[in-house]
Amino acid sequence: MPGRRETAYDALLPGHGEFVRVRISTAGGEVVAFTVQDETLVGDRYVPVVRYDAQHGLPHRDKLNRSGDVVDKVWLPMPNVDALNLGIEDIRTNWQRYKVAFLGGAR
Amino acid sequence: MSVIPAQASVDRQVVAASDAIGRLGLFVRLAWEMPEVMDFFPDKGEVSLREVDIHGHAFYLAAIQPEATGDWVARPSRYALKPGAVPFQRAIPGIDRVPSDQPGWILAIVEAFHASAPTAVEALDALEAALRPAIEEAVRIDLEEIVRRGR
Repeated sequence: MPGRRETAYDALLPGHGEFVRVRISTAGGEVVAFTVQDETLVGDRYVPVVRYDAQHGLPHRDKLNRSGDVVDKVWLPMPNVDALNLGIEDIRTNWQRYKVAFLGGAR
Repeated sequence: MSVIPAQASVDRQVVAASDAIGRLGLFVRLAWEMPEVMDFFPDKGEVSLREVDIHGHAFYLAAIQPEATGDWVARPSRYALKPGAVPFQRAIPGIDRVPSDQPGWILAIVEAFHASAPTAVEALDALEAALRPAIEEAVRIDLEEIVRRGR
């Protein structure tokens, strides 16, 4: 797509062994694809805990288990940019809760 | 012997982590809100963000390490006037624009102020050390002008 731009930023959260990774594709000022993912350290590797993205044509939120399987999916019928903002705000507010549920889940 | 951190310390870390996610959200929104500002930053890398408040003028500094082995490069990415703060009355030294939250001025400070260092903290410290005196000087000149007019 002409003018398409891909950005990929990772932020390590202070003191928590937690990464938030954001991938955004924009074109003409529009968000055409995105991923916002919260990851936590399990053993010696970072594994995804919760992910917002626009794969499969519609934005959604996935919660994952330690095996990387999606254990909960919520579709978000809204524009990509709104789902991206929602994802960041939800992870900002609830990352601890997601982490506790993730670590307490089946191995 | 392991040491269990005090609850207050844990709470501060939780707040710091949540704040870091908020700053990350603010930074990535540049991708569609002000892509011309994003042109000054690498498209990929680890990012570390800091908010600096200078007399009510908030600057959001971003340090990015494009590759795991490279230096961190830091620049301002956003500016906001905090509630109750006095807006700048004139251009700050070295920049031919009156400060605002508009892309033109953000671009001017992104271009004018930057620093690089082996660690994110060092890069952000160096950028803050360059930015702070210029802003404090601008605030001082503005206050002197306000006092002079009041006489």
